[in-house]
Amino acid sequence: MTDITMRHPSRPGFYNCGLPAAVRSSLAEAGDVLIPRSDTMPPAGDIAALFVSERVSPAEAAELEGILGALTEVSVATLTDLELNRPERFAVLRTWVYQAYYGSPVVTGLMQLQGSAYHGAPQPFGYELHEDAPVPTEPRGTFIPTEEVVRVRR
Amino acid sequence: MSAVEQAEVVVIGAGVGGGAIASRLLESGVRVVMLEQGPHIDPLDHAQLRTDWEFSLTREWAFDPNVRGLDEDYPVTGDGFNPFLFNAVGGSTNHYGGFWHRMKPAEFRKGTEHGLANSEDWPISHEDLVPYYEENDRRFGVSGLAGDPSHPPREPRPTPPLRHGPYARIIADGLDRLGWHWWPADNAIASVPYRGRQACNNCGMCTPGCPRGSLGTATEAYIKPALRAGLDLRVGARVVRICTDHTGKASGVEYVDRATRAMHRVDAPLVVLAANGIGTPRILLNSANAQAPHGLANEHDQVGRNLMLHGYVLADIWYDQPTGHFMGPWGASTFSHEFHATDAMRGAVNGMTLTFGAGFGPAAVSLGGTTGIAPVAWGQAHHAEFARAFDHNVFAALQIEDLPQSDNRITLDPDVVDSSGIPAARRHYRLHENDRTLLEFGTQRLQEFATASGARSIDVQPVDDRYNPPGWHLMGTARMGARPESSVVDSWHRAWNVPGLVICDGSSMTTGGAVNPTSTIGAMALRCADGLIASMRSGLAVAADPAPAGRA
Ligand SMILES: Cc1cc2nc3c(=O)[nH]c(=O)nc-3n(C[C@H](O)[C@H](O)[C@H](O)COP(=O)(O)OP(=O)(O)OC[C@H]3O[C@@H](n4cnc5c(N)ncnc54)[C@H](O)[C@@H]3O)c2cc1C
Repeated sequence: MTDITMRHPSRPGFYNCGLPAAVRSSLAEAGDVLIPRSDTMPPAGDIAALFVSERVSPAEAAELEGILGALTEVSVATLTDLELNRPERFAVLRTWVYQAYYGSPVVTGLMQLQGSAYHGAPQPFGYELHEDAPVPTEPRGTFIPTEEVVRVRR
Repeated sequence: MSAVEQAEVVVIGAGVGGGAIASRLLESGVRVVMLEQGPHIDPLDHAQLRTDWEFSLTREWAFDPNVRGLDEDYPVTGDGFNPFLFNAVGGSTNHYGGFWHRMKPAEFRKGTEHGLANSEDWPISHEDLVPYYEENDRRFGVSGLAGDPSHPPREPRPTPPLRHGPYARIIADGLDRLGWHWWPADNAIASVPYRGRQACNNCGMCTPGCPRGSLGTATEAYIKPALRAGLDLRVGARVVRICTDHTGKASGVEYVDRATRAMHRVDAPLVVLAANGIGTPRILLNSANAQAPHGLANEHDQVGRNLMLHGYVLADIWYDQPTGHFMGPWGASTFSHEFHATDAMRGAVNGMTLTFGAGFGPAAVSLGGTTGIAPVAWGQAHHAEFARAFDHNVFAALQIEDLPQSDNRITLDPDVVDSSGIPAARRHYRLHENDRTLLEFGTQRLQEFATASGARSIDVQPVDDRYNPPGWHLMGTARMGARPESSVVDSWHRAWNVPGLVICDGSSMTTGGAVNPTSTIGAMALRCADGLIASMRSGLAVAADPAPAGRA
């Protein structure tokens, strides 16, 4: 019997299909509109374009091309219109951008710099917790023993 | 087809049911061949070492096999719920939460209590399972605190309670204000180093598996010890059908090696089927033959029926103060059984568990948390709104005991097949009116809790036309019972009318209780194994005896 080492087709990089240059650049523009630069955080555009290119499947690339290609331009107005009139399409775009942004080590690193305890990849460090779990001071509750189960009146 | 091999026992499925039985049989000197369609999972396969770990939950660690679409997955067509399961050594515990509950005595007596829909008493009692619950807890390294008055008294947990983020205090205070029962939740997560496993380091996310081995999976609890005891585990081995001899007795199995596509056959006097609440009926139905034209053990058309999932409503609760929802084990911190027993005043029978604990990470929070109801605003407001949401979330789940119904079922899809050409499973599930009433009652309680705990807001999944619950507790499709007319196996998991076939996994549950099922599945499987060992030692055939209705 063969011991199979699975190659997960959905692992990052596996599809190796990327995004056409035009889609990539509109996605970067859309990312900048959805999550713009703040005083402390970068905009999402380039982060999203890179993240999505590395992970997208051919079908997903085509879907994004359809969504972005249908916009006359990428702006607050056109994305507002998309959200209002094609919410399912807008949700696909937003999901990619948000996943990319908060899955980026640059972003989680900056969050940490600004005082968040969140440190990106959960392992290998985990979190040190010093307080024991709370325990009821006034325990409540009962159970019905097997021999006391009776028909309920409905 | 290669030459037919001979084995003492063949076990189908390396999950909880299969793992517990195989491990116990091996310890008694029985030689076991185990067939598992999925691969071994390597610690480095888990996503927690990557910053994009949340993205992995939409890919290779997605709960739904239809989304993952890996070669080892089989499609689950149909509708009514999201099918959540995992196909690999360790079964669905590879990405479970490890919330750990025992069913209470009354949960084994739903026939006596009300008998609504297809509710029946289990042919065994809580007390029959107690020694096995204890043993199973030790195998999994369960953590928790003794003394909950809402349960029969029991032994201390093998490991002390876990620590949680600040959310645990917020939850406890809220429940205290309401005067409701609550208790620190048990989890199948080792809080201290345990039997060669590392202690949980509170990394915040258990569902893409656990690279440390702290999460008690079927692999940690049973498969690794079984391998040390000589288990012949074959991965990538997908069972196509169970074979029978001319008398109708189970005689072995045929499986396909997914790597080579070659067919193999292993004959054995005892076949143990443990492929879960969807995989098990699928194999039984696909094993139809001239003697059993409607599927094996299906003389009374019970295979695949009475599918139970637990009715679910998930909620995101948002607070002004930090909750630390990304730290601490994802396993529940706290549960309430205030509404666990039937109270006819609610207008419905059965009860519910309210579970509270950690949420997900920043990507999930930005997209609206566990429910996805209210994603963080985009545009100029994004960063400020994200700061209000991240680190301010608590996860809550309302879980009710759903009624077993004939039409809630697994069948074979006539058109769709898996990568080995075996028919896909097809699902159908609808809520009973009783279940709907309970969910509506429970939703109001969640809202009360949010107010009492000082929440800013709560997002609750509605119980309406869009209701599409998580199907991660797959129960009842080959259920245990006292009569062949309304069940598939007897009190010792022996298939009615198919000597030599034993079925033991989530599908065996007569009713589902209002609690997470895996502790009960493991306990049932250890008990089942003891029955098999006793039969083997005394030379008795493994065959169900329908008359008189066997009580354990
Ligand atoms: C996301 C998620 C979260 C969960 N959280 C919890 C929780 O917190 N607490 C809890 O109690 N439960 C939880 N569960 C449920 C728990 O995982 C299951 O109850 C438990 O794993 C079921 O055990 P089982 O033995 O019935 O089947 P499984 O563990 O699913 O094992 C069945 C095995 O059979 C194999 N198989 C199927 N068909 C074939 C075939 N044809 N040939 C060969 N092998 C086959 C499968 O690949 C699988 O490995 C969760 C489940 C999921 C998916």
